[in-house]
Amino acid sequence: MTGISRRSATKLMGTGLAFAGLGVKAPAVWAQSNMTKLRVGVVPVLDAGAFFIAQTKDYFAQERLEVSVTPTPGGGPSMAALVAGQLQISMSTVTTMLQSQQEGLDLKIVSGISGSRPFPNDYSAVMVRKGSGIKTGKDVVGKTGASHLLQNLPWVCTRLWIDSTGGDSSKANIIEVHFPQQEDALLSGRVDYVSTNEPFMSGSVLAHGDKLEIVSGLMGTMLPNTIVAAFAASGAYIDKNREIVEAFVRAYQKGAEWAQANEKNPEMVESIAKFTKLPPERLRALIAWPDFVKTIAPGNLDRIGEAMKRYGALKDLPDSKGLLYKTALG
Amino acid sequence: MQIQSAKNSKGSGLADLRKAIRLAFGGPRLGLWFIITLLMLWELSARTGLVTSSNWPPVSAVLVATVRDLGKGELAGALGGTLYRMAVGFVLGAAAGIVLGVLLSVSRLTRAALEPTIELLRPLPIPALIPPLILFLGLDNPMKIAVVAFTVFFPVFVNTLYGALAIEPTYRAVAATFGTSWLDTLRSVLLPATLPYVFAGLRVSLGLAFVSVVAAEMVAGDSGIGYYITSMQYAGRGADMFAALFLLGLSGYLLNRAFVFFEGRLLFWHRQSG
Repeated sequence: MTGISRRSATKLMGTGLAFAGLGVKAPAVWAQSNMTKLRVGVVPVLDAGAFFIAQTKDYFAQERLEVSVTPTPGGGPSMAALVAGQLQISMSTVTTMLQSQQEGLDLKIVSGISGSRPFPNDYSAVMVRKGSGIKTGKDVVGKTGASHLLQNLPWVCTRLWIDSTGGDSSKANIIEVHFPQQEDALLSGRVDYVSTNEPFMSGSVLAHGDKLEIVSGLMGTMLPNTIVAAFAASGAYIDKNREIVEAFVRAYQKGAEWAQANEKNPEMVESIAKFTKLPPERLRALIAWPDFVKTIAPGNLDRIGEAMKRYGALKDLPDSKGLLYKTALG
Repeated sequence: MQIQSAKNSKGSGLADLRKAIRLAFGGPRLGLWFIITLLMLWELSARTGLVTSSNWPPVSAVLVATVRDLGKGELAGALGGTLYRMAVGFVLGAAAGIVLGVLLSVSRLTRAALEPTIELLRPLPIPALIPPLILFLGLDNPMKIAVVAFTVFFPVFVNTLYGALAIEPTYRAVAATFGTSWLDTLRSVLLPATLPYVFAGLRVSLGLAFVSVVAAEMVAGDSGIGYYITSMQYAGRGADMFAALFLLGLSGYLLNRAFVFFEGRLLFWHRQSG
């Protein structure tokens, strides 16, 4: 028979009473043991603001999820990490997800993250040097443009802008220059127009408003209320972990609701600044914010897919319904 | 007489001036002055508006950011992580390079079997391999360490192999005549004669290892100086980004100096004989 000392028994009784309703919280270690660990890839940019809020406000913990964040560059590496099981859920652009679907990767979008509103609330824009004479797509003939990633949404929308404003994008020379370097490329005259987005857009206007100007909205203007980024998981992971995925989406979407209603709230600014390292004053000076979306209508993805196919960024029209898991449909 | 004295005094003045110039700018000090001049030009270009860019802060702001970020511990932690990954990858890659280099030098069969594969893999640019490596090794340390090991392996392997093949056949023949065992031949003939080549490979690899680990951190992960540089770039914090670059350059320089120092100590006999 296992002996138990009086002192130990008293201790156990005390602990039991404490947990039995005397208002004492369970120790952290005990609480953590009931949590489901989830590794999530997040691109540390403004678009992920709602995710940062959900983290800050412990919405994931409330769903008994212990989310560890892995900053990722988005795009191909994130999708590769999902398929390899290195990440359970990852953020990326919907264009990457549409391309990955056509490449045969087993992926599903589980929630929307960000979208873009039409001009003047579009958080992406076409920016030029003042006095360059570029106002519309007709004016970019023989000029060089820059886009963050070729074959991605800003590039597709830049071509849409050129074609819809009197130009011919098939003859346009658009090179790849990443967002942080676009301002320098434009100021030095190496390129003539850039497809920029926040926070680089407001940063350029604030620092060089005398030399640079916005001539058009971009993503939300060319494809009104378009979806920019989303969370995806592999089909295999979702099949085995439906409850976990649904709990993650519930928590994230609670954060999205809060972020949508409080985009300029100091708590929001602080939370984004903490995760992205962006100076808070830069966030307070944003011209436009992303739309923190929760769900995605298949028609929205269809429109993006059609534009991508038109410019050769997709081989075929996408199977939008097949790409959206029920939690993303709302 | 007075003229002669004046001439002498003028001559001695000129000699003093020359001496003073030599003292201030001679030898390694010239390199230091060159760096100071470049930094001053950088400061001027940023302060006077000669270069107008949010990504081009004055060098004084970079120095302030370096001290501040080091003080907070974030930058030192990032550098520490990078050096750790680099060190592990370096040791693994170098060990594999030396072992395979020696093995292929003594076995024609192994050389015939492995050399084509190695020569096919050698020209591959390591940044292009990072995405497929993520698929197999993930986003964390194993992937980054593998990237470094892969980078270090080739220069060390090639130098070891050709160093071992370049050994005078007489040395091996003498060892064979005295009935020296394979292990003793390796220890007393092959390795000492190959070591200068191995060290040349290791020195080339050191710089490449630094570049590759930072490149891997810039593509994926949540730590290290490469990740720090990328996140500062995207946050529009130019001074903090340059602080990391400055520290990276300084670390590379110090690592190279340390390597040269240890190489000199270990291969003193080679220098004396050469």
